[in-house]
Formats: sequence, C-alpha cells, structure tokens
Amino acid sequence: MTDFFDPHERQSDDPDEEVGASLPGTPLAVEAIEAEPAMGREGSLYADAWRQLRRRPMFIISGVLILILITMAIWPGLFTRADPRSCHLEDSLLRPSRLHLFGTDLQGCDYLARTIYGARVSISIGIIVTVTSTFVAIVLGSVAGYYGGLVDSIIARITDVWFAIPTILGGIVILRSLFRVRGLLQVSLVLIVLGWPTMLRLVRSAVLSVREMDYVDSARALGVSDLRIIRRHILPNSLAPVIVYATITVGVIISAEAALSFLGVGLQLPSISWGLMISTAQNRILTAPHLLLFPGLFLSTTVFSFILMGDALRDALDPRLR
Amino acid sequence: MGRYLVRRMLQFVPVFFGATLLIFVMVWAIPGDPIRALAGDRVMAQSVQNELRSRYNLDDPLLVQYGKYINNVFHGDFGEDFRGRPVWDLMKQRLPITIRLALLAFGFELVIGILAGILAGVRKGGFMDTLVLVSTLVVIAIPIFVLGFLAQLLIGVQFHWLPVSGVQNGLKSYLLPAMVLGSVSLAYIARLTRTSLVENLRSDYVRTATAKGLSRRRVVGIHTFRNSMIPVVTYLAIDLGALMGGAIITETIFNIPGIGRAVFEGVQRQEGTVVVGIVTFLVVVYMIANLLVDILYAVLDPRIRYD
Amino acid sequence: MAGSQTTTTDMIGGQAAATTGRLLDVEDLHVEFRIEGGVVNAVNGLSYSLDQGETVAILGESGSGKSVSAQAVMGIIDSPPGFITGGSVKFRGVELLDLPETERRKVRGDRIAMIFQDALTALNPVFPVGWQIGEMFRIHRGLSRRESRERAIELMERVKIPSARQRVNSYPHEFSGGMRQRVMIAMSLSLDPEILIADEPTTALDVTVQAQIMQLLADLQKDTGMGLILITHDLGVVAEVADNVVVMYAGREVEKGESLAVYHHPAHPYTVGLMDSLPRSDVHTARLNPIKGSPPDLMHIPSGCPFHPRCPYAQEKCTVEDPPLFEVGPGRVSACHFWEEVRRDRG
Repeated sequence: MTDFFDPHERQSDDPDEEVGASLPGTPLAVEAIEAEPAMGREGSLYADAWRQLRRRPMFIISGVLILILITMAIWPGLFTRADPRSCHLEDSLLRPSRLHLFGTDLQGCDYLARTIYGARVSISIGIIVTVTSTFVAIVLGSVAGYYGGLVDSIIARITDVWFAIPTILGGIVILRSLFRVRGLLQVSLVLIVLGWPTMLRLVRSAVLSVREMDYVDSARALGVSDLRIIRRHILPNSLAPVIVYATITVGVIISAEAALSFLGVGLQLPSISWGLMISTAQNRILTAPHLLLFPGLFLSTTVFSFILMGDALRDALDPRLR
Repeated sequence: MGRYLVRRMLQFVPVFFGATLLIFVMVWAIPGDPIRALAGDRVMAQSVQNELRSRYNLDDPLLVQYGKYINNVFHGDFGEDFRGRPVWDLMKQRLPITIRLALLAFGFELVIGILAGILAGVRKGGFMDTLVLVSTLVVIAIPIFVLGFLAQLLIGVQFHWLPVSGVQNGLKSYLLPAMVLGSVSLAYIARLTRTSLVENLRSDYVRTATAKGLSRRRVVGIHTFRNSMIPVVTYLAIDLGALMGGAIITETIFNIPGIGRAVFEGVQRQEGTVVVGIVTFLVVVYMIANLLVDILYAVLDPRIRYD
Repeated sequence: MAGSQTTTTDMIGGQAAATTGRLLDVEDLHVEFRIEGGVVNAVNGLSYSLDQGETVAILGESGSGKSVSAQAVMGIIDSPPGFITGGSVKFRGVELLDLPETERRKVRGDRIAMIFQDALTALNPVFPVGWQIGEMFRIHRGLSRRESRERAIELMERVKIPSARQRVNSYPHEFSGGMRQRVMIAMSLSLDPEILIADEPTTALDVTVQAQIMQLLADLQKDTGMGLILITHDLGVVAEVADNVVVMYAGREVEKGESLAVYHHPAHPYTVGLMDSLPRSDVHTARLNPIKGSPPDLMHIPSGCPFHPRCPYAQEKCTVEDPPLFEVGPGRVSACHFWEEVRRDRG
C-alpha cells in the first residue's frame, strides 16, 4: 500500500515543514491580500470546507457514487430481484440479455445479482478496515506524537519493521499460512494489521506539527491535563489530513482485498467478491468477456469514487496542497 | 554525511531482524502444525512430516529456530519445495526475468511520470495539468489486474500490437507487462512531481532566482528541479514494494515466468515453503533498496546530512 | 525600443555618461491582482525617483503595496494574477515596462538587483552559496566555473564573511541569519548594479545584527555610488539611513520628502499616526497609541482619501475628494487636504 498522501514524510520528522498554510496564489498575491480584513474566511475550517465542497463537481460526483454504492451494499435487493446464489448449471455462461442483464457465470448464476452483491463485501471490508486502523492509528499516533521521546522511538521502530514488508507480499504470507478459512473477518484483520502503520505515520506527523503551536503551550501553562489537551486541541486540528487519507484508504483497501482475492489468498467461495469473480474470469476473457468487465467496472468505479472524494476533501481542507 | 550514514545503518539492523522475525513467526510459530499449514491440502505420510520437522528445526526453541533460519538465509538457503528442490534454484532461474521486467517498468514510469508531472506543474490549471490529473486518477483507481486484462484484451488481442503472453518474443514481450506494471507508479510519480514542482515554484528562492535575471527555463529546470525531485526519490523506495506486489499480478496475467509468478504458483500449488522463501528474499531486497534510497536522498538534500 | 540597433544595456550605458544622476523614475504606477474574489488594487498611482548615491526608503505597513511596487520595478510579478495596469518605470531614461522580456532580463540582476527579507528561504537550499553567487558571473558574464568561484570568494570577503574560502562550498542552512543575509547581499552586488532594492533586509534579524547589516549596506553604497531603495516598516531605520522617504498607504504615496524633515515635521495624519504608535523609551505612557481602525481592504478601497476612515482630521471633503499631492515645502509633498493643520499641530 503506497503512501498516497505524503510518501516523503517518512524521512522528515521536522514539524516545521508542515507549518504555514498560504493562500492559493503567488506570494505577492498573499501579501496584497493580507491587508484585507477576514473576508468570510472566519468560521471553523470545517464550516469553510463544507461551503467549498458543496460547490465542487468532484465532491458531488464522488459523493453521489459513494451513496449509491453504500445503498447497494446495504440493500442489494433494491437493484436486482435475482438471487445471486440461485444458479442453474444449464444457464452457464450466457451472454448479457434481457433476462440476465449482465449474463451468467460458469455456475449459471445471474451475474448482475452477483455483481451487485459483491459491493457489500467490498464496502464492508473497506470501511471496517479503515475505521479500525484509523482508530488504532489515532490512539497510538497521538501518544507517540505528543509525548515523543522513548515512547515515540519505540513506536517508530515498530512501524519501521512493518514498513519493511510490502503489503501484497505480507498479505500473501499471512493469509496463506494463518488461515485455512478466510472470510470477511480474517481478511479484514490482516488488512488492518498491514495497514495501520501508514495511517499512524500520518497521524503522528500531523500531531507533531500541531503540538508546536502556541495554543498548546498556553493550554499546558494553564495546567490542562495531557489527555484533555490531546482530545480538545491536538486531535481536532490534526484531523484534516487524517480524514483525507482515511477516505482514500477505503479505496485502497477495497483494491487490496480484490487483489488478494484475485490471487487466491483473499476471500473464498461462497463469498461474493469482485476480486474472486475476476479471478475466475481470467481464463475466459476471450470467450466470455462479460465475466471480467462487469465486476471490473464496478470495482474500478468504487475505488475511483473514494479516491476522488479524498482528493476533493484535500482540496477543501488543505489549500496548501492545491 | 558520515554520521547520517552510520545512523541509517544502525537503524537498518533492528528493522532487518524485526521484519524477518515477523515473517518467521507468522509462518513457523503459529498455533497448530506449521508443516500442515504450509502443505495445505497435500497428503503427506507421517515419515515425510517428521523429516520436514527436523529439516526446519521445529523441535528447537523459537529463537534457535529463528537463528538457524536467518543463518540459512545468509547462506542462500531459502528452504525447499515439497519435492525437495531448493527455493534458491527456482529463484535463480526466475529472477533475471523479473529484473528485466522491473527495470523496464521502472524506466517507463520514471521517464513518463516525471515528464508528465513537469508538464502538468509548469502550467498549473492548464489543459495538460487537467489531463494529467484526471488520467492519473483513473489509472490509480483501476486495480492493476483489471488494467492488465484490459490491456491484454485491447492492445494484444483486439489490435495485435504487442504480445500478451510468455517471453518468446524477446524484448517485445516485456513491453506491455512493463507498462501495466509501471502504470500505477507512473500515476503517483506524475502527481508527486507535479505537486512538488508547484510547491517549489511558489518558493522564495524562485523569486530570488528570477530577480537574479535568470531565464524561466533555468529557474525551473535547474533551481526547482533538484528540490522537486526530493520527494519523488523517497517515493521510489516505497515504489519498489508496490512493484513487487504488482509483479506477482502482472506476471500471472501475462504469463511471464518470473519470481512473481513463482509466488503465485506456489500459492496455487500449496507450496507454502516456496512462498515463504521467496517472500523473505524479496523483503530483504526491499529493505536494502530502502537503505540505498535513503543514502541517495542525503546526496540530493544537503539539509538532511547533518541531522 | 523598436528599430534601434543598439542593445538596451548599451543605451543605458550611453545615457549614463550623459546624465550621471537620475537612476530611476517611477511615475503613476498601478498594479492590480485579479483573483477569485475580485481585483486587489495593490499599487494605485505611486511616483518617486532615485538618484545616484541616494537612499530612498519606502515606508509602510504590510499591505501598503511597498513590496509589490518594488517587484514591479524588477519585473518579477507573477502575471497572472498580477498585472501592471498603468504608469511608467524609467531606468536611466529607458522605459522598462515597454521592454521585451529578454531585454528586461538583462537588466535584472545585472543593473538593478534585489535582496529579500528571509535569507533562509530566499536562497536555494540545495546548492552551495558559492555556486549561487557564482551563477551571476556564469550566466550574465559567461565566466568559467573556476573564475566565478574565485569572484564569489572575493564577494564574500567584501561583505565581511569570515573564512570565505572555506565556506564558499557551504550550504545556506549552515550559516547564521546575519551571515546568510550577507551572502544575499554579496550575490546581489556581484555585477555592480546601479540600483539595489532591499525588501525589509533586516526584519528577520536580531537588533545588533540589523545594525551591522545596515552599516554594511551604507559602506557598500559609499564605495559604489549605487542607489538604494530600502523597503521597510521601521521608522527608526528610515531616520538613520535614508535620504528621502516615501510613505505609502493603500498603494500610493501619502507623504514624500527628505527623511529627517518628514520624521521631525510630518505633514500627513498617517505619518503622524505611525510616529505616535511607536513605543518610546523616554516617555512613560500607560497605553500604546495604535492608529485606530485597520488597513483597508485592497479590493474595496474607501472613496476619496483612503485614510479617511481612520483619520482624526477627516471631514466631509475627505470622503469624496481624493487628495492630490500638495507641496508642503521644497521637495516635500503630502496627500492630505488638511496638511497645514497637521503641520501646525506637530509644530
């Protein structure tokens, strides 16, 4: 899993590099604009971001797509009346037709139904893994970033070890050797284990840059407890990159699960996973291309919408990076 | 510079042992019978199992096991498959092919990626910029195996431009797989270059360079270029890991008999030891590559040398 | 300059022989920035001149347009979003704003140089200082690497950087703040420019170092006879160093004249406000006296005199009539309808 957000971060522990948001435009424009009184740039970062987001086509498109996909995951019945598991061998490998809009697969199952139901597994894994690793990363990352010192060094070394193992390779080894039966739970677990270090790096560096801010010093001088400082000052202000990265991570995880299932080390039958469907399709791409195209299309669109959303969020929350 | 190097090397050691230990533990120290787990559904006589137990030192305490395992690694012994053939032999045979594929992919993604990134960044907001941003997003979103199949279908089968299977056609066989393999990284590199360039173009030192009466070409090509490349170089280290994972998929799709395919075959054929052996090897390579990139980074950015 | 056979620098050189004196003539300069929210009027009709050996200080707060105007003279405003929409900038009689970029570039750095506030960010972090200084010689004069390196060492010694020969290959971050600023000064003076524009050169430095740097600039100026445009918000520096001062507000000059005269007998409410807002060590006061209100939004500059919302002398007239530059004395002007009152009140 590549660090989409900021790969070169792992070299720089220097919080100063994060400091200093500048307005879009040249330094000259900045100086000229500085003279204006706050022109609607007051209000919290999030309120401002929401206002900007509402207008962006990127956000709207990806938002709509994601909503559709989540709906598909929760209520697949809304999109298809067929049962993905009711398969008739005599209907094997039919081309798309009015009866079976996406055709049928080797077993004779309705492919449209299978594709729609595939969303459930992908979205679930994407969200479960992302939410859990983010949570773990926030807890550990804020501790490491805020306290620094020995705690930080230990956590940093541990994450270094994790980083030494590329995701797919690690996934293959763990999944193969650890689990005979691989369902949603097992695959999610492995992806969490492999994924949290990247998120942790991000949280830690965001915390590091916020920690240097003056308002943290004044809170400490006032005697506010560490936990409170972390909860009320550091976290809310370092969440922006975390939110962006988490959104993108959902897409990355969905892609990773599909890749692992494709390789045969991810989910197994009878789970319905796009990766698995593509894997069984590979020997038949010439004779039955629909087997590949539909899950491929859905998979790509799903990953695309999450990454697009992440991009839109980043543009709104962190003007520096435009 | 020397101090930085020593520090990096020192950091390397615990990570090396940590990572290999991690893999080791996950394979050999799980509850239950590791041999059974590695063998999968294969039926094995008890005598064979016993032999394997002693071969892999399973009756020794954990740390001794690990010690012998690492010792073996240093001697090039990465285990054997269930027919007794050393994994190292398999790797020796397959590695050159993968190296060729990887180098090609690497060159492709670097050249085109950086070029695209520069074109996009220099005229931010322009047509090229939007084009690059959108296309890279699409490429990143489409999982590599889908991309691979699409490429096969369209370029190979439909238009017959390039071969799609095996390595019989010499260099040509590697072209399409290399492009697919490098595609996602290319997208990241282009984006990273662009962002980095845009950020650097806004720096104060660009203003100074312009005030010195230097041409735009020189300001962008020399002054910002070096600074912009720094994050890209760091990315390349992580990229190698992605390439390894991607190679497994790409070689499988395009039927390239490289190390990646060997892993896939190992998974398919329930050859657990082969999988573990190759993965261990790849992880070590990855770590060394990262170390080298860190050193390269220090060469590029003098500020780091004195940390 | 269409149709002329001689190059611009030739022309400038030729004119130099004829009129040693007037280096720069800025007249009615207008610069605006077109951004998403509207148009920012950064400079609105600035005029001033610079003679050989003279030091002109441009005084103002952030947002007054002082830096932007200097960048317009240098021609380094990013366009878009910045546009020079009017006025003229004449260097030794040659209209810079009409010059094609290739000609302009020859003047830049070579005849007119500029140094900036924060030397750490203004210098390229990945190249040694000697390389950066030497670049001027390599690019503008075509010297070899070795020769330009030697010249760089010479320059570093001239600005009093100790152990110049050893440090020529060091990187910017290896120098202290004051030393870094000297490197920038060395770089800017490498080709013996006729004008040096210093944009807040000492703001980021310690007070003692500030004095050293200002002294260095004064000495160098005496040696070369170059003109110095000093952009600052520091009144004290102005009084000490500048021959003439241009006080800027909302993109135009509101008072102009000999710096000591302006300092002791200001003729514009804004200048008065600036003086009064300075904390003074000799008088004990309970409170500081900032100028009430805040600097104007450059996208919506108040009608009439831009200072009127904050001015204690403001009257009906000030809200509608933009004050012209009234002559207060020989070589002194003030853009205030009621400058006589102001003068009277200040004695």
